[in-house]
Formats: sequence, structure tokens, C-alpha cells
Amino acid sequence: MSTPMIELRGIHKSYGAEKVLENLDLRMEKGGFTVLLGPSGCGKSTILRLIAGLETASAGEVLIDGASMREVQPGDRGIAMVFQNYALYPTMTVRENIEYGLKNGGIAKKERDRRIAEIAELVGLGDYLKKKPQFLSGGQRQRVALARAMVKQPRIFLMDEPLSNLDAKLRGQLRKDLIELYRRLGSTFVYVTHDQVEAMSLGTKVILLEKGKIRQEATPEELYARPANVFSARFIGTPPMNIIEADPATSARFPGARHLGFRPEKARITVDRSAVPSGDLIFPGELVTHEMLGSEVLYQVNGPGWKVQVKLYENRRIPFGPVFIHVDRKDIFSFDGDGNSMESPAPGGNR
Amino acid sequence: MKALKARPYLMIAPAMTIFAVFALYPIIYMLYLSFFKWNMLGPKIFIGLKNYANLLSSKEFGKVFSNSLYYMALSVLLSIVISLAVALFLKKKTALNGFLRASIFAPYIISLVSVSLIWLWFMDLDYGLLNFILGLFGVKPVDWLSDSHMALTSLVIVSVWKGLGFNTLILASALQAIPEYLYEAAELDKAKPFSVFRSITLPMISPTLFFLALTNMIASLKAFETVALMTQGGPSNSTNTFVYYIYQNGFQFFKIGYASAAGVVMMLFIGAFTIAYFMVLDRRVHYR
Repeated sequence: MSTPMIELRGIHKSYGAEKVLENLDLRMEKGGFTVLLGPSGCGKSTILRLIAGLETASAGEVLIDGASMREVQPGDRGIAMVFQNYALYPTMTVRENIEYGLKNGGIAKKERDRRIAEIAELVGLGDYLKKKPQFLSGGQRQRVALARAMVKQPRIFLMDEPLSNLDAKLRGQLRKDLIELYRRLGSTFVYVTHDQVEAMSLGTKVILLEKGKIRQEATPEELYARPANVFSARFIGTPPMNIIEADPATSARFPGARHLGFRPEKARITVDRSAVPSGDLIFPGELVTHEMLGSEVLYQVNGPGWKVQVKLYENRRIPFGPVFIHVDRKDIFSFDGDGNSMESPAPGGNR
Repeated sequence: MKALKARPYLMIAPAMTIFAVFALYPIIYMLYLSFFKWNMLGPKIFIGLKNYANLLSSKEFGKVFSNSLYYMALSVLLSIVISLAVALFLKKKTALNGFLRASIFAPYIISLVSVSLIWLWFMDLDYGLLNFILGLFGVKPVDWLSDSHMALTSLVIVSVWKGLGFNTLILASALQAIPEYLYEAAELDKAKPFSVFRSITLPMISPTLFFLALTNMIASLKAFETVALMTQGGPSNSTNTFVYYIYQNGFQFFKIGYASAAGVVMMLFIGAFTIAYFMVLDRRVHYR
């Protein structure tokens, strides 16, 4: 593997007595779109801020393009950051916001004007350059924040939940814009989010974190197809994977497994047990809810000690009451007592 | 229906009554008196605008006017600059800073009469603390209060000292209200400390600065206690300011009409000054 664009070596970070990151190693390749994904408090924002230089690690080292960043100021790291709340300067116009970093970087007026015109055109801000951020909508502010980052032509873009303050529709639109932007610029992107849909749709690589530890590092495809552990399985998917405890009946077929998992879209529901293909796993339960979502229908089925969700793409009414869920053997994931996958070796899983 | 219409007026009636009796009536009465010659005991003699003519042609009043402007400009400038510097220094929320902030706030709650007496001693030519300290550094004693070139500046020093805690408190809370992420964004934008101060900190606290400057200006135009207790307007009128001049003429020389005319002029000046201040500066202030 060639020199990674960003490398974290043995990073420790604690705030007082609270340890956020412990002995973390991380590599992000050049030109990749790496998503740091995890629930709140997993340390993903801290990692981003360490790369930016807004935080200093208690121990360990951050390298960018092979060079140690120990003595390098945030402004000199060749990075640009987009903040969750945009962090636009409220007292400056859109134009001044975009220009501020260039001015401080000593870029000549002519070149500044050229770049600002180009960026404003690209993100569609031309009409708003003279306005102050408070007169812009959320989506427009986010575009200003993007423009402010892009105009610096950084080698790395750091994005801290940039879409989380926007409504769902706008989020979808900006997600597409970001993908387009990434493809056009070819820079290295690091993106922090707690939303697995964003992570899956944007990333070329997803790093799933829990409590400061990497739980899985994989492409979105792998993450979906081969979760390394129960945490990963439960985090990815809409809705996420169903996990149920193995019982004596199933452990005969999955020796050693403590948890079994299957994706909601891989399960079937029937009221007629004899219609189940042989070899399928069968879970008798009770159908309790039915949510029509358009192209698919979401059902909740409760059994003894478990609740699972099933997603079907055919629109037929199944009566509430006793049903059988059945899943093809190949769609079942088994996990051991530590919650690790027993299927294939988990790439970049627990270390 | 009728009762309902009257209700809001009834609700504000107490406040309006107090305002009318203690603010509106005295102003109107002052305006009325300014057209008379009156010594508080004898009959009021109507003399039209003669008081104003006398006032505006008086060399003494010219001196008072320029003293007041000097006092205002210097005390507002020093107050704002020093308290901003202290506020920047005490911005971080630590226990020590909290203690320091409380300490410099203390003078604000002391009566100005006490403050004047304390500083009368500080500034004593022969036995004062200030000259003692200066003496340690080999500096010749300064005649703080009886030198006509120094006395007004000495009064400014007292006023700045007294207001420092309050101004610092207000500015420190304005500084704390600036979100930290703006400074982080500026750091990523390669901004140097001075540029951060000029482009982010100052504009962000501009509404507070605007407010503080105005209230300080009005307060300093109304300065009275320090003048009355420390210099009595002297030496040779070098520290005589608006309110002390009015007091002198009204209650020492019993020229009530003349003093009222000075009061009217001062009121109009402060009013006009405030309006001008708003017209010039309000547009440059950033309101959230």
C-alpha cells in the first residue's frame, strides 16, 4: 500500500478522566472518501478534530501525506473543514466569508476574485455573495460553508456532520451534490456522521466506531454483506439486521453460535408452515404491525424473547396474528459469544 | 367593552404617574423657569430668552462645555479600551478569573461619595498613595487635583476606575457569547491573532460596545459627585462640568432661571448627541 494520505498512529485522547480514544491506529488512502460512522460519543468527531489540529492528542501521532503534524498549525495542514453548524462568520457577507481564508493565505486580489467567481458559480451562490449568512436558508448556508472550504483548494476535506442540520429532502439533494463534488475534485474526503444511510451512500470506505474503538473498516458493500460483528450488523441497514439468541433447535445447525442474524429484506412471512421451502430456518411468531412505505411493506413480528422486522416488496395484506418467518440458510449470519462474526474472516474487524 | 379598552391604560397608569411626576413635570417646569429671573424667594420675573443669551455668551459656560466634552471623550475612550483589554484577559472561565472579575467589580457598588473620598486621599499632593508610589520610582510628585492642567484628567481616572468593573463584566459576557467554532474556523483560515480580533471578535461584540459607549457617554456628561467632592469645579473652573455648573448657579448663586436654561441646553445637547450617535453608528453594528 502506498503512503496513506492520513495516518493516525497509537492515538490516545482523554478529556480529564474520560478516555475518548485509546491506542487508535487508522489509515486513510489518498483520494478516498472515508466515512467515520458511529453513535454519539464514539469519538468520530474527535478523530476529525485531531486531523484538523483543533485538538491535540494525549499521545500518538497524526501524519498527513507521510509528514508528522505535531508542529504544524491547523491553517498550514492543507485541509479545509466544514462544520456541523456551518461556522460561518455572521458579521461577514458570503463573499467575505469565502475570501477570508484566501486573504489570510496571502493570495492576490485578482486570483481571489477569479476563484470566488468560479466557486460561486459551481455551488450556485452568485446571487448571494453580498448577503450576510443570517439572511440565507439552511441549505444556502451549507453551500457557503462548502464554498469556503473548496476555495482554499485543500488536499483534504474534513466534514463534521455537514448535513445533519438540514431537512430530509435537502439532505438528499446535498448528498448527491457531495458525491458529484468528490468525483470532480478527486481530493481526499473525511466525513463524520452518525447516519448509516449517509455513510453507505457517500463513502468509498466506512470506518465504524464504538466507544473509541474501530469495530469494522470496510467498503459499504462489505459492511452490508459481511458485518464483522453484532454491533456492525445492528448499525447498518434500514431497518438494521435482526439479531436473535440462538436456541437448542438452531444451535444444531449453527454449532457454537450465540446470536443469529438476518436482514429484514431477506426474510419471508407465511401463515402456512407447509409452504416453507425445506432448509429454511423457521421462526414462529405473531404479526403485530404493518407499515406501508410505498414500494415496500414493513412488518413487525414478535416471538418468544425476540422482536424482528421483515421487509417485503410485495404488497399483500397478511392478517395480524400467528405467522411463520422463514429465512434461507445462506442469508443467516452467525455470531459467537463475543458478538464476532463466525462466517468469513472479518476484514479490518476487531483487532 | 369600554372597560376593556381602558384596561391597558389602567395597567400602565402607575408607571406613567411616577414618570410624569418625577421626570416629565420637572422637565416642563425647568423649561418654564428658564424664561424667568428668580432667586427662589422673590417673585419670578419673566425675561424671555435673556437667560439663554447670557448663557451662550458666557465664557464660563464655554469652558464648562469644553470641559464636559473632554471629560466625556477621555473617560469613554479609556473605559472602553481598558475594560475590553481586561475582559479579553479574563475571558477564560477559571476560579481565579472569577475572583478577579468580582474584585474589579467592587468599586461599582461603592457609593461615588466614598469613592471620591478614597481618591481624595490617593491623590493628595503630600501624603497620597499615588505620589508615594511614584516616589518609589523617583518620579516627582504630581499635583493631581490642584493643577488646572491635571485636575480634569484626575477626575477621569476616578470615573474610569469606578466604571471598570461594570464595563468589564458586560464585555466579558459578550466575549463569552461568541461561539468557539468561529475561532476554530478562523484558525483553519490561517487568521493571525490581530486579524481574528479585528474581523471576528470586534464585530461580534459591536452591539455591546455600541451600548456601553452610549451609556458611558451619557453618564459622564452627568458627572457630579466627583467634581463636587474633590475639586468643587476648580482650580479656576478647570474641572467645572455641566451638572456642577447647574448646581453652582442654582443652589449657590440662586440664579434658578439661569441654571434652568443651562439644564435645558444640556438636555437638548445629550438628546441631539444620542440621535446623531445612532444615525452614524447604528448601521455599522452587527445585530444577530
